[in-house]
Amino acid sequence: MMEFRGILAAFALVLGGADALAQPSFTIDQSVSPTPPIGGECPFSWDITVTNNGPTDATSVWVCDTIQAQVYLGCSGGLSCGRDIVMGNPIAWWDVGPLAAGSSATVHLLVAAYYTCSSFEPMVIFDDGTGPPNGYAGALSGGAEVVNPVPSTFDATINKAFPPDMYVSGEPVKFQVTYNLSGAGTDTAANFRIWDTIPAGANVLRMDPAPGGTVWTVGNLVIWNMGDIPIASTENTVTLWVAAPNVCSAAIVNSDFSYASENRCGKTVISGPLQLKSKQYAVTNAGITINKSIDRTVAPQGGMVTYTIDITNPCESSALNITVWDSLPAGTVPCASTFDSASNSGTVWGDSVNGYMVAWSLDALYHVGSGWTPTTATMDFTVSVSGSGPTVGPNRAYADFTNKGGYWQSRASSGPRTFTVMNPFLQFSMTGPSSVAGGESATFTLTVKNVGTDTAFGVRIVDTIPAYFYAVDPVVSGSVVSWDIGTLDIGASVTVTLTIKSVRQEANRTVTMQASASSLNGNGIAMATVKDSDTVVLEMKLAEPKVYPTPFNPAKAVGGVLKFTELPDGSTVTIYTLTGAEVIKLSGVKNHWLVWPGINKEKEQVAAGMYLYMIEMPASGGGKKKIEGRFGLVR
Amino acid sequence: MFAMLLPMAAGAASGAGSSAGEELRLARTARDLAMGDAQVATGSGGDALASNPAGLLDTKLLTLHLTHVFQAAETQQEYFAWAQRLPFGPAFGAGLFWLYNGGMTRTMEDTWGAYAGEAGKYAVGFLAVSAGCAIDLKPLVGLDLLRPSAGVVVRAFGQQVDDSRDLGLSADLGLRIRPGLGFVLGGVLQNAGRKLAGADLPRQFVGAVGWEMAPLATEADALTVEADMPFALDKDTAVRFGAEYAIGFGAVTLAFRGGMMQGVEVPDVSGFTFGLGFRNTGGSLAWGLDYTGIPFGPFGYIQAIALTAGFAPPQ
Repeated sequence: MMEFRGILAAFALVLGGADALAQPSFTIDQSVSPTPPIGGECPFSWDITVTNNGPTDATSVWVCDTIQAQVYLGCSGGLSCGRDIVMGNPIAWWDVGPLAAGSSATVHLLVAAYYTCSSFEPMVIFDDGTGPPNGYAGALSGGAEVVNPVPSTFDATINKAFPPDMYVSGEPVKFQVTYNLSGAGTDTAANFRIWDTIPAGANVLRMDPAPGGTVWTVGNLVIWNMGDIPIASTENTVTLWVAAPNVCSAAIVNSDFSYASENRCGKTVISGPLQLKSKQYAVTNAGITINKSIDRTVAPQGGMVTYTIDITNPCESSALNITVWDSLPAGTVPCASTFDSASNSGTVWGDSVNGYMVAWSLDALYHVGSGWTPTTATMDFTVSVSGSGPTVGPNRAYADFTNKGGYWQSRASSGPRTFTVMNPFLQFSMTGPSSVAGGESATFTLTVKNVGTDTAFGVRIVDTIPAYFYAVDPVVSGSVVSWDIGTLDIGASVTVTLTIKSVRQEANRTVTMQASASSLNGNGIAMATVKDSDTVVLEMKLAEPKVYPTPFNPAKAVGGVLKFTELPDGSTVTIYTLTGAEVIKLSGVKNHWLVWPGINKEKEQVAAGMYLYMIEMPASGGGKKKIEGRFGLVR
Repeated sequence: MFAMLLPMAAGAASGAGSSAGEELRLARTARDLAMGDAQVATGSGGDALASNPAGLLDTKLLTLHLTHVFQAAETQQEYFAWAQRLPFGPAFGAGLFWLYNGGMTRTMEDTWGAYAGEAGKYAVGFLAVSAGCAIDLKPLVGLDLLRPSAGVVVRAFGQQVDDSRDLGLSADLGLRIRPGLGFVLGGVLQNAGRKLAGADLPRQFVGAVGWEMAPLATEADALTVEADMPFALDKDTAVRFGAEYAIGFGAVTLAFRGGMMQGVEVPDVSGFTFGLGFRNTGGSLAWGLDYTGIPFGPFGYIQAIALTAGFAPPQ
C-alpha cells in the first residue's frame, strides 16, 4: 500500500510542478460498519469522506484504494466508481468530480475480509484546473482492524479407567475429550462442536455434554455442542460411554475426533481433526451353544420320548450363573430328568393345564482351553406322550447366563424339535336322507375309516337316536345303538347301516341324529372320539293321511284307538254309518293325530260293521280338502 | 197293533252306530231307493218283503226281483226276492240280501302305534236270508172297510268283517190297512231280534201313510205317494217321502220316481232321490227294468238297477 502511494505522489509532483503550494489541500476520514468488521468473508462497508480544505477549488477529484487483502464486493458514491488493476494491484476508484474549497464528498466500498487485516489507507488525486492533476493526499483518520475467533489450543484426550485394555461384554468403556480454547483469537467462537463416531457394535450407555452444552446422535455419530466459546475460556470435557456387544470377542474402535466452529456471521472459521486420538479396545466374552436332540421322530400315544440337551461354551471367557430350561410341548407329561453333574439337578414346574417346564442350573461353564471344568454339560429328560398328535412340538431349549463381569448375555436357544404321534385316527361320516315322512323309515349309513398311522383297536360306533324315532334295524330297546367293530387296520374302513322309524308323526319338526366313533391305540389309550361332522337333519313332513289299523279292533289296536294321522291342524274326521248317520265328529288335532276309540257321540261303543269316514282338512290354497274312505270294525 | 209294536222298537241302543247290522236298514230295491225308502204303506212284492211284510198281500203276480246296487264307498249290494200270493189268500215271499266289499285296504301299526304300512285287502260282507208271509185280517178281525192285512218276515243273517263272523236272527212285523179313497196306512216293527256281536239290532218302528190313485189320465196312468216316519232309538226321527207317476202306453208303462230322505247326515247330500221304471205287461211274462241314481256326497253315487219278472199266479 505504501509503495503504491509513493508512486502516485511522484506522479502528482510531475504533473503539478511549482504550483503545488497554491493547490487545494484535502483530509480523508474513514468509518467501518459493522464495527469491528468480522473476518471469515463476512461483508462490511468501508465509508471514505474527502474534504477540500482550500484555499482553492479542485476541478476534479479521484479517490482510490487498494483492495489486495480483501474481497471486492462493490462500490458506490461519486460520479462513478469501479475496480481496476493498476500496476498489477487491484484498486477501487471513485470519480468524485469537482470539489469546491470547504466542501466534502463520501464514497463507499463493500468488501469482505478473510481473517485479520490492518485498516485501509485510501488516497485522493485532484486537479485544480491549472494543468494536469497536481496533487494527492493520504488517509488522515478512521479505519478498523478485522477480528476473528481462532483457537490457539485444542487438546483432546481419551481416558480409560480399567487396565488392561481388555473388556468383557457389557462393561462400560469411557471416551473423554478435553478441550481448551484459552488464548484463542480475537472474537467469540460460535456454535463450537465436537463429534465422534460410535464404535461399531457398541451400545451407547451414556453421553455427557460440557456444562451448558448439549449432545445428540445422528446415525453413528455423537455430537456435542458447546455453544459459543468466549475469548479466553477455560478447559472443559465431554464424555461418551459405550458397552461392548454380546459376542464372543470384539474390538471397540474409536475414531479420531473432529471439531468445528463458526464466527458471528455464520462462517465456519475453524474445523478438522485437531489431534489423532483414535483408540481400540479388545473385548472377550462368554457364550453358550445349545444342541437339543430327540431319540425318535415317531412315537405312539402313551409312549416315551427322551430329549437330550448339550451345552458348550465356544468363547474365550467363562459363562456363569447358567440356567437351562425347556418348556414341554403340549401333549407331553414329564416323567424323568437327569443331569450329568451331581451337584446340579433338573427341576420340573407346571401342571397338565398350564404346561410343564423342566429347568437346570449350573454355576459355570468354562471355555475350552481354560484348563477348568466343566466346559460342556448334558441334560436329558423323558416325557410321556399324552396327546394324540398328529405332531407334538416344536419346542426349544433356552439358556440364560452371565459373563465374568456379571453382565447378563443374550439368551441362547436350540433349534426346534418335533416328533410325530403314531396313532390310529378315525374318520367318520354318516349319510342319510335329509327328510323323512312321519311314520316312515329312514336308513342311515355310518362309515368309519382308520386314516391314522397305527392300527385302531376297540373301534366302536355309537349312534344316538333322536326323539320321536326308534331303531328298527338293528332293533334296540333304548335310544342308543352301538356297533363294536374291533380292530381296524391302517386305511381300512367299515360301514354299518341303521334304520330308524318315527314313533309318532310330528310334522315340520327338525331333529338331529348324532353318531360318533371311538378307538384305542396299541397302548390302550383312548383316542379322541370322532363325531359325525355331517350331522343329518331329519325333517319330517306330512304325508297323505293315514287311517290305521284297519280293520279296527278296539281290543287289539295300540291304545284301543283307530288312528288318523298326518293331519294338518284344524282337520276334522267324521265317521258315518253305511246309511249316512253321523256316528261322531273328531276334532282338536294334536301332533297331527286324531284318534277314535270306537264310540259314538253318546260315548257308546259302536257295533261291528262297515263305516264310512270323511277327513276334512285345510287345503294349502284355502278352503278345505276332503278325503273319504271306509273301514271295518271288529268286536 | 201299533200300540203293541211300539214298545218293541225300544232297546238299549241310543246313538248312531250303536246298533249292529246297520245293513238291515238299507233300501233293497231300485224302486225303494228311488222313492226315498218310503215303501211301508204302498210297497208290494220284493219291496214289501224288505219294508213291510204286510204288503206281500198286495203282490199280484208271481214276482221275481233282482236289484244290484252300487253302494257308496265301492260296496256292492245284491237283492233277490220272490213273492207270490196264493189262491187261498195268504202271500209268501223269500229273499236273499248280500252286501259285499272285498277291497278294503288293510293298514298296520307297529307296537309303538306308528303306521306300519298296508298289508293287502280284507273283506266286509253281510248276508241275509229272509222268508215272510202276509195274511188278510178281514176274516179274523172284521173291519172290512179297512181291509187290514198283516205280515211277518223272519230273517237270518250273518256279518263278516275280515275273519270275524257273527250270526243273527230278526223278524219284521207289519200291518197295513186301506181306509179308502186311495189311502193306505202301514206300520212295521223292523229288525226285532237277538243281539249281533254284542250289540242290539237296529230296531225301529216305521209308521207310514200312502195314497194311490189310478186310473188318472189314461187307464194305465197311476200316482203313488207315500210318507214314512221311522222311530228308532239310535237315530233321530226323520221323514221319508216318495212318489211315483206311471204313464201307460198300452202294455208299456214308464214310471218316474222321486223321493226325499231325512236323516242322511253326510255333507252335500240333499236327501232327494230319483229313479225311472219300465214295465211291459204285454205278454205272458211281465217284466220291468228300474234304475235309480242318488248322489251321496263325498262318497260318490248310489246307483241301482233292477230286473223284475212277473208271472201269472197259479190258479
